Amino acid sequence: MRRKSGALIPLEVSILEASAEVRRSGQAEVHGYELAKVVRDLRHARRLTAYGTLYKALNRLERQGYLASRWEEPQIAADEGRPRRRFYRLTLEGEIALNEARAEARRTSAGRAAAATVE
Amino acid sequence: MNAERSAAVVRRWVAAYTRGLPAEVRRDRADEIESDLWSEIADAAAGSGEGAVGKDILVRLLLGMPADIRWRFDQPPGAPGPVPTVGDPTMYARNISMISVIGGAAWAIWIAPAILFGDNAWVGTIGMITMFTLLIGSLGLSLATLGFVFGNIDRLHGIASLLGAIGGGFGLLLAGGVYWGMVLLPVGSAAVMWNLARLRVVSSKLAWAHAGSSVATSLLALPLLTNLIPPASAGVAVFVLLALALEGYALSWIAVGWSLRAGTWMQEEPATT
Repeated sequence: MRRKSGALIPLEVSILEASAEVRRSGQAEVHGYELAKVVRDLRHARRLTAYGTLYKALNRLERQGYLASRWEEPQIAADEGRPRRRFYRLTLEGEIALNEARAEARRTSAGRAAAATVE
Repeated sequence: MNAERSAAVVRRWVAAYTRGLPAEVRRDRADEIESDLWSEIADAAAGSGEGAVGKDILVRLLLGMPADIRWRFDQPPGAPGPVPTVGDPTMYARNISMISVIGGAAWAIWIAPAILFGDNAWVGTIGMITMFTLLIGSLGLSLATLGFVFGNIDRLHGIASLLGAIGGGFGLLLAGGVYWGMVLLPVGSAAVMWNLARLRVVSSKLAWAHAGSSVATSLLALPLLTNLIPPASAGVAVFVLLALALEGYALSWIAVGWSLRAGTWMQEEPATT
């Protein structure tokens, strides 16, 4: 089954949801590890998303224009004695894509419920 | 393994799969993973035990390895050269589907003389046919398994990807006489096909047929390989059942490859601008 260009896979939807969740909590940007934690909580998973899967998905979402990223100033990281962080934020396109994915999920579950009722 | 040792393994893996990439891309990936590791270890120091986080880091590493490899192949080369073009996903999918058919057909052929002629199947002209089809079949099915893994890396479950990658790898060694491939290749490909059926890429009937023949092959080959049932004392029935399972496995590959021959199963990368 062909994946439509720009269509989102479940992990990507979870990442966008996590980004939106973080923004709702008043934080404009979020780094990879923090996103992984929010995704884990949203998906009720036991483990954090694997490194390769998480950063590849972030890379794709950024190329699609759904997320934007920036590296923090090295001096800030150095002052805090930790590696520099890459921060991601949800773009307007990402918000639209997330809303479309949610609407699609609602349509699918409504269709399933209707089919179950008929049966 | 403690957290620092696990982190060191992750760093070595990142250094390995980013080798040859432009310095900036390498540094960015290494820094991003380093930041993640630092945050997870810092979190662990404040909460969960260090052993637990060390294990968690390794699991995150292992489950993400196929995606790392796919990411690596998506990167343009570091050295100056021709501008990379975006691959045609349909062509990739068609090739993998056809490799499945060819590999399945070759696999189906080598089993027949091996059963009909016993030890004589490996000598003379018949031996050449048996060896050649075993080689092509093993390589084909291994490459097809790896192709399905890397073509669907973002949507396959991490464990299915990992089993597929291990099975595909051992399947390649099967051509060189490492017979563990006979057990691990079916396990890996079954995990991938099962996951692809859940994603509605492969029909559930085909996935059942593939998984059933895979499990039968692995269960019958395992006691022979581990000498639990010494091959010399195994009854004819064991070999007949193994041959049937292997043929079923080969035919299921042909059916899967043929059903996907249009090449539309591949997930598309977003268009680059």
